[in-house]
Amino acid sequence: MIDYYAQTDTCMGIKAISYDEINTHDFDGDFIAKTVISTVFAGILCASNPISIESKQETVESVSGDRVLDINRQDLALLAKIREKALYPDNWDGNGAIAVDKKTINDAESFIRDLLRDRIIYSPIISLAADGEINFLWVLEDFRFDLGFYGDQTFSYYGKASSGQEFISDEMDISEGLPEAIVNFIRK
Amino acid sequence: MNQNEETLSFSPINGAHAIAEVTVFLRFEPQFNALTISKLLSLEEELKDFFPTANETRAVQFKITGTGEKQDVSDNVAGIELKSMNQEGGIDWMMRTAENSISVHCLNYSTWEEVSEQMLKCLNATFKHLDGSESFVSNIGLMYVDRFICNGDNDEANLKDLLKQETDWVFKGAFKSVNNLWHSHIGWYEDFSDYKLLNQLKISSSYANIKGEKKLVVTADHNVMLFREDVKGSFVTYSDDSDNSIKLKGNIDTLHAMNKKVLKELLTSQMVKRINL
Repeated sequence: MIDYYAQTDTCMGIKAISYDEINTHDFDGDFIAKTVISTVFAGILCASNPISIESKQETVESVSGDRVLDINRQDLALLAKIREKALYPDNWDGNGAIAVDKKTINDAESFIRDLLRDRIIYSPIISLAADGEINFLWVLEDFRFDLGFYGDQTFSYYGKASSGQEFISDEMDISEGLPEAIVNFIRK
Repeated sequence: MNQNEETLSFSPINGAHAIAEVTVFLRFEPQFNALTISKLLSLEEELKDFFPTANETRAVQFKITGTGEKQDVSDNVAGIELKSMNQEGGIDWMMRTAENSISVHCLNYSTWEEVSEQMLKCLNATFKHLDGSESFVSNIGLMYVDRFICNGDNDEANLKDLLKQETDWVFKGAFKSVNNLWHSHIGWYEDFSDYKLLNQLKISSSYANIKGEKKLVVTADHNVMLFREDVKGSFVTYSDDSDNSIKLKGNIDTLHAMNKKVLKELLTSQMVKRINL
C-alpha cells in the first residue's frame, strides 16, 4: 500500500493529512488516494492567497447595476447632438469644410447646460457649418432665432419675432447667457 | 471617410456620456468604533434635503456549528445608507457609511465641477462626526463606471471602434474573442501629478437587457486610489474648513485626471471625441 501524505495551506492554518488517518475499511486504496489528493487540491483552491497582492486593494462596490439614464431627457439629447458633431472630420462635406474645434463643442455645451438649468425650453435644431461653427436654430410659431459658436467663449445671434421685434448681438460672452426677453420666447 | 455615429459600432450608454456611476470613497483604519458609527447616523437628519431616503445598515455575524446549527454571534448597526431618487424610482445619488468606509455615489453625472462639489459637501458633513475618532483615512479613491452599448447587430460589433488596439490597458485576446465576450482585470501603480496612484481597471463585455432588447455592453470600471503614505504633510483632517476642503478637492481632482488619462489611452480617438473627454 502506498503511503500518501500531503499538506494543505488553508485559511485555517496548515493541516497535514496522512493516509493512515483515513479509515480504509471497505475502500479501495486508489480510491482513497484520489480522495485525499482531491481534498488537498480543494484545500489549496480554497486557501486565502499566501502572498499579499499590493495592487489588489479592496475598493468599493458599484451600485449602478444595469441602470441607464433616459437618453431622450432634454439635456442628454441636446448634449449628444452637440458631441456627435465632433465626429465630422475635415472636408466632411466634400467641399473643404473644417472639423469642429473642441473649444467650440465646450462653448456650446456650457451654453446649453446653463440654458437648461431650472427650465425646459423648445429644443433647437443643432447643426455644424462648413466653417466649424456650431449653430442652434429655433423656428417657432412667433419667433425665429439663430445662434452660433466659434469656440472663443462668445456667441452671436439674430432673432426676429412675429411682431417684427429684432434681437441681434455679436460676440456676447458665454457666461452672460441669453437675455431674458429671448429666453421667454424659447421657454416651454 | 466620415465615420459618424451611425458607422461606429458602439455608443455611450447615456447618449451624451458613458458614465453609469462615479463614486468617491474614503477608507479608514482601524474601522469605526460603535460611538463613531452612532454619530454618523445623524447624517440622516443633516442631509435629508439632498437625501430624502435613509436606511440603517446592519452587520450580522454568525457561525455554523459542526452539526449544521447556526449560532448568531452579533447583530449591530454598521452604518447608514442615504439615497436621492429620481421620478422613475432610480437612484440619482447615494451615500453610504460602513464600518471602515464612507462612499458617495453619483448615478446621474453632469459635469465634474458639479459632481465633485456635491461629493465634497457630503464628505465635509461627515468630518465633524469623525473628530476625535481613532480611525484615520488610509486611502482616498475614485471609481468610474463607463458603459458603451453596441449600436447595431451584436454579432457585428467591432471592438476596434471602441478600444485602441495598441492600448496597454486591455489584453489583445479581447479583440479576437469569437463570441465578443471577454474580460480583462488589471492593476498597476503609476506616478501621476506628484503621487503614486494605484489603478485597478476591470473591462468586460456582457449582454444586458436594455429596454427589452438584448444588447452587447462593454463596461470599463476604473478605480484610482491615493494612499496616505504617498502624501507629504497632512492627508485628510476631520475639519470642514476651507483649507481642508481645498486639499481634499485637489486630491480627488488628481484621481479624476488619472481616470481621464487612462480613458484617453484606452478609447479610440473617435470615442474620445464622442464623449468630449
